[in-house]
Amino acid sequence: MKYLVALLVGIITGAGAFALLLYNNPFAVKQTISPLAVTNLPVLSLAYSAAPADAVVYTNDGESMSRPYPEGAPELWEHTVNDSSVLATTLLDSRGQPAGFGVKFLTDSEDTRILNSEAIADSAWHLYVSGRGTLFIDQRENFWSYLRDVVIKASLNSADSWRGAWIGVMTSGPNPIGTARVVGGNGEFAGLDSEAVESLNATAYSAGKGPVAIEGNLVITVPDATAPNQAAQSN
Amino acid sequence: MIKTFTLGVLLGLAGSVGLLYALPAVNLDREYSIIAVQPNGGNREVFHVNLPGDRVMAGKSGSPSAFPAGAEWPVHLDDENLQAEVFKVRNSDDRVVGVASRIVGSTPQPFVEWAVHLPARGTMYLLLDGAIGDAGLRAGGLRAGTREFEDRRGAAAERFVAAGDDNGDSDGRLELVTSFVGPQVEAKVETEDGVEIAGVMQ
Repeated sequence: MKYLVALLVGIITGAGAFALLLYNNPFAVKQTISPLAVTNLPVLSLAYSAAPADAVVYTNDGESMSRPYPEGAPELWEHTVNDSSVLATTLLDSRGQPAGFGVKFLTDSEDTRILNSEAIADSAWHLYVSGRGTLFIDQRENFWSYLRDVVIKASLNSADSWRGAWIGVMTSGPNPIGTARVVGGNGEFAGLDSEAVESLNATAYSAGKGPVAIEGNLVITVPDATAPNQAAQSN
Repeated sequence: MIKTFTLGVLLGLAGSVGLLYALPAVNLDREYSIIAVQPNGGNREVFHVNLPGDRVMAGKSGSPSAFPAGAEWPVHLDDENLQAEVFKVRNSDDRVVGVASRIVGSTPQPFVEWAVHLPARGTMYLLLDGAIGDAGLRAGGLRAGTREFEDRRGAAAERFVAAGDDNGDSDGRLELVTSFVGPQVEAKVETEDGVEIAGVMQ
């Protein structure tokens, strides 16, 4: 009997040690420098609040940590979409002024590999930039660092919350250098093929309610004849 | 006893690695893709949105009310003649297979756009004409796609089908028909006689 107990305690200890190793994986480095940080191209910078309560509409399966907003918003409960969320929000320019409207679709990805410290989500943005035109962004995001440094820390905190300053680049593809793919739709962006990077800046998170104060930032290169117009909005 | 404990620790480590390696962290549910192969090439697929039941969000410039109740449509868009909607999207079997956004605008000329996100398959970005053509169709094409739709090209059309019944709980449905072809690939087939036949497949 005592051998069985020793074996069970050993297995639990081994699993716990593995979880600790995974959590403190020294090879899982948070990316804080955007691949577009040194680009010479004009960029369009758009910010938004990623907190559901600041959105026009935010919805998911209704059972996740972040609740749909506003209360009564239709939930994505069907089995084919219950791993997805939708955020419809106002976009701000680099001066904090309203600059457009965007819808973000985000789905947990089957490419997620916990062993590799990859919590992957496939996401797409459908953007309308006021007076200028429309854009579509296809990206792959890695939420591992965000989960480890913000979400898990909030869950472990006795107050069920986290406060601090966390900044990270979320975009990890699909382009080879880790940028998102951008295509233009209408207006001055028609025909545009470009790239973008999305980052998050979190300062408060509640384990019960999800993100409380968190800002997203989209940096999109706009490399063609529209360049003079970007000067006013570039970083 | 120490040896048994050590064995347990090793088993716990190895078992955790094995479990994480073997079991997928995410396993998306899928519906069958209901696709018809057209005689002139291309795969035709019909999606639809039941109105108003599948509406997730709706807002329009200059309109004081947005859907759902409590949603605040951005005031700065009031002068831009913009309409934005988010829907659940269904396949031909009337099963929800994804979500989509539809943006209608007029910068610089009238346009209609869809971003159709099918979680297990990918996302389609469709650009349609601002004007409605023959048979009530609004025609356009695939501007870009992700994952399954990444290498596709082709046409898309939208039309509104009014409800035929009159129990009053349905306005009708918004149909979205896509017809895509895949990337061209050179294929070689060797017959039993060793003759090689080369061709282009789509």
